[in-house]
Amino acid sequence: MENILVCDDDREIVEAIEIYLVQEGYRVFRAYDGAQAIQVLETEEIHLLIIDVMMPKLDGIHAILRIRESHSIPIIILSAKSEDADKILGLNIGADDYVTKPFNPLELTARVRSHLRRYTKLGSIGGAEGAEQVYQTGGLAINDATKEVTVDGEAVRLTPIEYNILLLLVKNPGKVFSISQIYESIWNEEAIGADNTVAVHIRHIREKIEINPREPRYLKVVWGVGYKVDRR
Amino acid sequence: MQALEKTADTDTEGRLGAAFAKKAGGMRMKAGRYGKGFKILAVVLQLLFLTASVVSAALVNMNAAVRISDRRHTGDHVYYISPFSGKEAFEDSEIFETMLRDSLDEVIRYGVIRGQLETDGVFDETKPVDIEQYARHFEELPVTDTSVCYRLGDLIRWGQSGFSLEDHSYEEAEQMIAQAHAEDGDPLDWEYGEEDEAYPAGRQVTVMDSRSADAQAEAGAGAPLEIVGGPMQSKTAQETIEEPETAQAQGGEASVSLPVERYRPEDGRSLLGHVKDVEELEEMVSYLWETVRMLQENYASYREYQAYYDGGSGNLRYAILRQENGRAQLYTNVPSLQKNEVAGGSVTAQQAEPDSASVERQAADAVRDVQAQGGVSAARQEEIGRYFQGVGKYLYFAPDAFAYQSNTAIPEESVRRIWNEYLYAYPDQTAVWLGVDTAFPSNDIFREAWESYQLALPGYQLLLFAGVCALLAFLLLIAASLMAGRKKGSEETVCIWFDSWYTEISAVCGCLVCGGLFGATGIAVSELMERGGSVEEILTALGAGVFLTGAAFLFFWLSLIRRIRAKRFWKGFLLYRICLKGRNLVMGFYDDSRSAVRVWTPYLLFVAANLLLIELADGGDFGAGAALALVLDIPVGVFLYRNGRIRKRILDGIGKIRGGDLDYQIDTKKMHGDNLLLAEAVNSIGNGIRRAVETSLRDERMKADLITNVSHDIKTPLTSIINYVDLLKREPVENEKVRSYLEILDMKSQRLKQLTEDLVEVSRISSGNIVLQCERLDLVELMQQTIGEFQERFEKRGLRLIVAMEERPLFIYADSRRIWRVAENLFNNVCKYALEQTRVYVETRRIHEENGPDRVKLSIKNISAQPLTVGVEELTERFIRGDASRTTEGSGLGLSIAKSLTELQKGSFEIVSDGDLFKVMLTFSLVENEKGGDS
Repeated sequence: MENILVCDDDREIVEAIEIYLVQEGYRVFRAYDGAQAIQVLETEEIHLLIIDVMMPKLDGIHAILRIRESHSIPIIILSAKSEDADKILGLNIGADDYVTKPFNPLELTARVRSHLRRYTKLGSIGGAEGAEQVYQTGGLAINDATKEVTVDGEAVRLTPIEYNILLLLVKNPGKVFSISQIYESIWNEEAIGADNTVAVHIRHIREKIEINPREPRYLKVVWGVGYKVDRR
Repeated sequence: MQALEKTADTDTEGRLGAAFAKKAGGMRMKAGRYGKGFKILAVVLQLLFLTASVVSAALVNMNAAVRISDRRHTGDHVYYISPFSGKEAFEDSEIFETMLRDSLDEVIRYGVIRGQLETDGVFDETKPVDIEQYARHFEELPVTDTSVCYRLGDLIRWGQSGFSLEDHSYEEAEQMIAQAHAEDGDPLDWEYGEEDEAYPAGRQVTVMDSRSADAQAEAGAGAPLEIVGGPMQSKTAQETIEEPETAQAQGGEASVSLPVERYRPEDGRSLLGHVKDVEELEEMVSYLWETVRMLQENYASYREYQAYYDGGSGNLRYAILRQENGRAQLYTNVPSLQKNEVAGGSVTAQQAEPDSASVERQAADAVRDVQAQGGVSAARQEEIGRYFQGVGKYLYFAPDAFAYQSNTAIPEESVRRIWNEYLYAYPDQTAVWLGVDTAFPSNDIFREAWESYQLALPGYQLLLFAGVCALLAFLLLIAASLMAGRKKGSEETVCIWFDSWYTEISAVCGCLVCGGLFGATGIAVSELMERGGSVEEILTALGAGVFLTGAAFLFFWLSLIRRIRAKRFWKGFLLYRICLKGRNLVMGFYDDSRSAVRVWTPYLLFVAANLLLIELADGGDFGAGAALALVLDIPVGVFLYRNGRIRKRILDGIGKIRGGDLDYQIDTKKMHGDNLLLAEAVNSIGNGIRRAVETSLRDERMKADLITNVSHDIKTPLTSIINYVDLLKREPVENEKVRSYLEILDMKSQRLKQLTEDLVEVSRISSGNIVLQCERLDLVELMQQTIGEFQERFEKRGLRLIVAMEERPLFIYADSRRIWRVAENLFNNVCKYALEQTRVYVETRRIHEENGPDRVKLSIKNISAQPLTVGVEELTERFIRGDASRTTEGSGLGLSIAKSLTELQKGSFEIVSDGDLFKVMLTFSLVENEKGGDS
C-alpha cells in the first residue's frame, strides 16, 4: 500500500482528493502548507506527493525545491494557475506532472496510479527484458516480438493499423510524420488528396494510450505539421 | 599696477576654461580648478615675462652695435652687429672687414700723398710744384706752355695763412705784367719752351686728383660707416680760401683780383713775370688757388696718416711697393722690412725720419736699383708677402699683375674699386700689402672695436632668454585665458562689471587704452633715445610701458574670453540688442494681430516698397533702384522660405503622429503666429492621443490581470464544487429528482469551468499578453488533423463533411497551438450550432494576388440550426452567441477567440451569413513552398 501526501491550503480539496485516493486503495497523509509537507515527508515514508502552488508560509515551488534535495518521489503539482509559464516553471524545478484546477478526479487518480507504478515497479525492471524488440518511451512500451503495447505496465489493445502507426512513431522518436508520410509507409501506396483515415486512427490511439487525449503525454500532435512521439 | 590687480582679481573668480574641459571630452577635471592665488600668480608672471622678454630684446638690439670713437674726435662711429651673423671671432666679422677696407682706402691715399709731398721718402719742403699741372692733373688737356713752379713749403704755408686779394683795373694789371717782365729782364715775347728745361732733372712732380677726396666723401656719406679723411679737410679749406673769380665778378667789368704775392715761384720771379697777358694771369691765379687748396688738404691728411699709420702704435701693417722707371720704392710701417731694405739696398726705404745724408746715398743706390730691377724686386716682394702672411689677417693686391691674395672675406672687386680711385697716381707696377695683427697688442681702433665686439657677443644668450620669456608669457596667456571666468566650485562663468558693457563700447575702450599706452611707450622711448638717455632710462621706460600695455591688453582680452565663455559676446552687441528689440516688436505685433492684418500689412508694405523703388528707378538709374528692391525683397524671400519650412515641419509632425509615433513633438522654436498655434495644436492632439492610448492600454492590461486573478480565485472553490458534485453522484441516491438536480449541478459547474478558462484566454489575447511562436505550417494538414479529431462528433450529429482541398501543401506562417485553437473553436461551433443531418463544407484554396504574395483561403460553411438573431458582426463580439437564449453549452467566446487569434497571426477572419447559411472565411498569406514536400 503506497503512501500519498496531499498538500493544499484548501482543506475541502484535500479531503475530496483523499476520498478518491482512499477509494483507489492508497493511504493518504495531509498537509496544509509547504512546511507541513516537508515535516510529514521527514517522518513518514511517502511514495507520491500532490502539492498546490499558492499556499501560505511556504509555497509549492519552494517546497518542491527543498524536497528535491533529498527525495526522488513522483511529485504532481495541482494548481489553479493554467498559464504555460506556470506549467514550465513547475516541471523545470522538479515536478513530474502538472494538473490544473478544476481537475477531473478520474484523470488525477489515473496519473497518480501511472506515476506510482513507474516509481515502484517499473523503475528497476525498465528495459531489462527489452533487449530484443522492445521499444520504450516513458511509460509506453512496445514489444514488437509479441505485438504487445503497455502503458505503465498495463496492456493496451490496439488494432493492427493502430499498432503499425504507433510502432512507426515510437521507432523514430522525435521525428514528425505528416499524414501522407504515415499513410504511405503503412498502406504502402500513395496518399490521395483529402484522407482523414490517419488522423482518425491517431485519435483512437491517443484515446487508448493517453490518460487525457486532449493533453497527450506520448503521441503528440504538431498541428499543421504532423504527429510525433517524444524522445525520453 | 592698478589695472593689473583688477585683471588678476576678476580673473581669479573663475575656474578652468571651457576649452580645456571640452578637450577632456566634456569631463570636468579635478585638477582643472584653480584658486585665486594661482590665477594672480599666472597673470603677474605673464606680465613679468612679457616685460622681461621685450626689455631683453631691446637690450640685445641696443648692444648689437660697436661704438668706436674716431681718432680725430669727430664723433663716435657705430658698427651694427647682427645677432644672427653667427660669427664668433671679431676678425671674421663684417665690422672688421669694413674697417680693414676703410684702412686700405686710407693707406692707398696715404701712398698717393706721400708721393706728392715727399722726395725719397722724406717730406721735401723745397719740392717744386707746377701749379697748372697740379691743378689740372685730372683734365686731359694739353698743359699750357707757361709753367709756373712754386716750392711745396711755400704753397702749404700760403694756404695756411690765406690769400689776400687786391683789385686792379685791367690796364693796371697789364702794366704790372709788363713791369714784372721788365724787372726780370725778360721781354714779353719770351719763349715758354725753355721754361721746362729749367726744371731740375730727376725731380718728381706729382699731382693728386682732388676728385678722389670728393668721391671718398660721397661714398662715405651713404655708407653706414663714416670714413675718416678728406671731406672735412676740404670743407675747411673752402671756407678759408675765397674763390678769386667771385671777387673779380663783383668788382666790375674791368677789375682784376690778384693775390698779394706772399710767396714767389721757385725761381724767385714774380708770378706776373711768368704770364704774357692778363687772361693768362687770371688762369694762373685760379690754378694757384686750386693747388693751394688741395695741397693744404692733402698736407693735413698726410700729417694725420703719418701720425696714425707710421706712429708705430697701431695694429695695422701696410706696405706699398712701387716701381717706376726702374726705381723701386717701398712705403711701409714695418720696421723690419725697412732695415732689411737698407741692408739689401735694392729698394729705397722711406720713413719720416729726417735724414740729411740720404740724398747722396740714394743717388748711389739708384744705380744699383736699375741693375737689380726685376729679380731682386721679385725676391723682395716675396719677402714682404711672407711677412704679411704671418701677421694674422692680411691682404695683398698687385693690380697690374692681376694678383690678389687675402685671408679675409673682402672680395677683389671691392679692393679694385678703391684702387681705381687712385689709379692715376700710381705707376704701372705697384703692390699693396695690408695686415692686421689679430692679437691686437696696440691700442687703436681695431683693438677698441675688438673689445666692444667681445662685449656685444653675450647678446646671443640674452636673445635666447628673451625668446624663452616670450614663450613663457605666451603659455601663461593661454593658461590665464583658460582660467578666465571660472570659479572654484561654480559651474557658471563669473563676470565682472566690465563684462556687461556693450561689446562695441568695450572694444573701442580696449583699442583706445591699449593703443594709447602702446603709443605713449613708443613716444617716450624714442624721445629718450633722441635725447641720448642712458640705457637704463630707456629700458625702464620701455619696461614700464610694456608692463602697462600688457596689463591693459590682458584685462580686455580676459574680458573678451569671459564674454565668449558666458555666451554673451554676441548678445553683448548693442546692435544685436537693438535688432532683437525691433524684431520682438514686429513679432509681437504680428502675433497679436488678426490674420487679415497679419497678412495684408506686410503684403501692402512689400508692394508699396517695390512700387516706390521701381518708381524711383524710372526717374533715373534703373539698375540701382532694381538692385535695392531686390535687396529689400531678400528678407521677404527668406521669410517665405522659412514659413514654408515650418509648414513642412508641422506636416511632417502630423505624418509621424498619424503613423503611430505618438511621442513625437513638433519643435516650436522660432515659430510665430498661426504656425505656432498650429504646431501647438498638433502637439496637444498628439499628447491627447498618446495619453488616451496609454490609458486604454493600461486599463486593458489591468483588466486582463484582474480577470486572470479573479479566475484563479474562482477556480479553487469551483474545484471543490466539481469534486463534491462528482462525489455526490457516486453516492447511491434513490431519489430521481436528486439525481436530475445533481446532473444540472454537474453540467453548470463544467460550464463555469469552461467559461473561466475562456475568459482568461480572451483577456490574455486582447491585452496583447501573449507570445506567438510562429513557424511554417501546412493548412491542409491542419484541416485533415482537425477533421480527424472531430469526425466522430460530426458523425454523432449526422453532419456530413464535404472537403475540398484541391492543392497541397499550402503553407502559412502561424503558431501551431494557436492555429489549432482557431480550428478547434470553428469546428466546435459547427458541431454545436449546425443543423443535424446537413452537410458541412470545408474548403482550402489558393488565391492569386496581382501584387504581393498569394493568399490561402479557408472556408467552412454550414446550415445553422437556429435562425441567426444577431448581426454577423456581433457574432465575434465577446459573449455573443447565435442563440440569444444561451442554453446550449459554450461560453460564447469561441468565435471571438478564433477571430482574435487569427488576427494576431496576421490572418483575416470573416463571417458571412445568408439566411441559414453560416460561412466563416480565413485568409492567410501563403508562404512559398521552398523545399517541396516537407518531410
